[in-house]
Amino acid sequence: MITTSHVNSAFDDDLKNINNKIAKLGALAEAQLADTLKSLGNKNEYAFQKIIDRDKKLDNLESELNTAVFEVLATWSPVARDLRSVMVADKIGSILERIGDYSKNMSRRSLVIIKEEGFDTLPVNIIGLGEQVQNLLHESLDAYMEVNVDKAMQIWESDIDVDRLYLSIFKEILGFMSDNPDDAKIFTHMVFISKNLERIGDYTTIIAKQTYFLANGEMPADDRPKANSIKT
Amino acid sequence: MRDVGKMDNSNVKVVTKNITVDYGEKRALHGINLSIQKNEVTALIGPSGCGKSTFIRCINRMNDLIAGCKVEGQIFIDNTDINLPETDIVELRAKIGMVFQKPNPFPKSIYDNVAYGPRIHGMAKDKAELDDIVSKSLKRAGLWKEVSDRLDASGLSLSGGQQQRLCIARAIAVNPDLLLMDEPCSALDPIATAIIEELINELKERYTIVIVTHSMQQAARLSEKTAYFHLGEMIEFDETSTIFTKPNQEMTEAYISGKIG
Repeated sequence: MITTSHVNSAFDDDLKNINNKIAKLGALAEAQLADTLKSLGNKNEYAFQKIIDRDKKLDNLESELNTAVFEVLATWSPVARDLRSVMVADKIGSILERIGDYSKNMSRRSLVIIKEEGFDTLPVNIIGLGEQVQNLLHESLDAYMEVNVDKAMQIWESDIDVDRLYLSIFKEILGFMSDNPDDAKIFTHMVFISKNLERIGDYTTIIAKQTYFLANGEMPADDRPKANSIKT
Repeated sequence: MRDVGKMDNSNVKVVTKNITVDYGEKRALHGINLSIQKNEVTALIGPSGCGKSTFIRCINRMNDLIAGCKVEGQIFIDNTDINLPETDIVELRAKIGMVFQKPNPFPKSIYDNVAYGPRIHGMAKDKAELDDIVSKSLKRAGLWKEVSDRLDASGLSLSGGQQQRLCIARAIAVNPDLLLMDEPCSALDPIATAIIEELINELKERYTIVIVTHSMQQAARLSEKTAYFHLGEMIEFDETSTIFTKPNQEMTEAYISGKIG
C-alpha cells in the first residue's frame, strides 16, 4: 500500500527534524530583515546592535541543519523526492544564513552612517525596496514550505521590480555622491545597503527555483525577465 | 508505462513480449514487455513476491523445471524465440550463465568447478585447452590471483565472496553472452559485495547482464536500466538515473523511497 510516510518512521522523524530547522531559520532570517528595516526607519542604534549580535543564532542553526542533512544522507541514502527535499533544505538553509549576514552587514553600515551623521540623507526608497524584498522572502518561504510551484514561479518573475527599484536608488545615490564628494564614505555605505537588499531579492528567486526543483525534479527554464544592466 | 527514451533497437539482446507466468491457479507475471540492451546491466527491483525472479528464470527457461508452471508469450534472444518447441534447451542454457543468491560451488576442486561446463559441452579438445579456459575464466572472475596456486583445493574451502566469484567463473567458462544474476550479493559482506560489483562493471564489456537485487543502492550503482516490478506487473522501466532521481510512477517512487513493502 502506498502511504505518504515511510515504512521506517524514524526516517520521517529525521526529515521532520530538518524541516523544523528550516522553519526556525526562515523565521529568524525574516525577523532579522524586518528589524533591520524597522531600525532604518526609526534610526535605532540599539536595535542595529541587537541584530548584529543575534546573527550568531542563524549561524548556529545553519550548522545544526548541515549536520542533520549530513546524517540523513549517511544513514538513509535518500532517493528521488526524499533526496531532493534534503538537498533543497540544505541549499535554502545556506541562503537563509546568508540573508542573515546581509541584515547584519546593513546594520553595521547603518551604525557607521549614524556615526558620520549622514542618516538623514538616506533615500526613502531604500525602505520601500526593503519592504518589497521582505514580502518576496515571506512569500518564497511560504511557497517552499507548501511546495506551491505556482506561487514560486510568481516570485521568480516579480524579482524584476526589485531590480528596477534598486537601479533607481543606485542612480539617486550616485547623484548625491557627485554633488557631495566629501560624503562619499556615507553614500558608499548606502549603495551597499541597497545592494544587499537587491541580493536578498535574488536569493528569494533561488528559493523559488529550488521549490520548483523539489516538486518537479528539474530546474525551470532560465528565461526570467531581468532589468537592464547598470549604466553609470 | 512509457518506453525508455534512449532504447537502441539495433542493440537489443533480449526482448520479451507479453510474458505471463502461472503457478497452477496463481498468476505470477501479467504480460511483461521488456527490451534488454547488449553489454548493459539491467536491474530488476521490487518487493518479495513481485515476480522479478520468476521473470529472470523465464529467460533461460528454468521455469520449465517447476511442476505446474506455465509460461506464455514470447522471449527473443538475438531475435530467436526461445520458447519454440525446436529450441535446444541445453544449447540455450550454455549461452546463458546464471548466478544465484547463495554461492553454490560443486563439492569438487576449484579447477573442476570451472571445467565442468566446458567438459560437458565438449568445448576443449585437450587438457591444455581446458587449462586455458579455466585460467581465463578465473581471471575474468577476478579470482585467479587468489587461487592459482591451489586449483586442486575444494571450491567449498573458499570464503563466501570467493565462492560467488568461483560461481561466476563457472558461469562464464562456457562462454555465454548473457549473465543472469539473482541477488548475487545478498549473502556477502560489504567488501565481498564491492568486489563482485567491480567485477560486474568489468564483465558488462563482454556480456549482457540482468541482475535481480533487493539493494536499491546496488541497482543504482551498477545498472544502466532499471525495471520496477510489483505484484507480477512491470510498473516502470527506465534509465537507472531517472528511476532513482525522478521516477515517472508514484508506485516506483514509493518503493525506492521505502514507503511500500
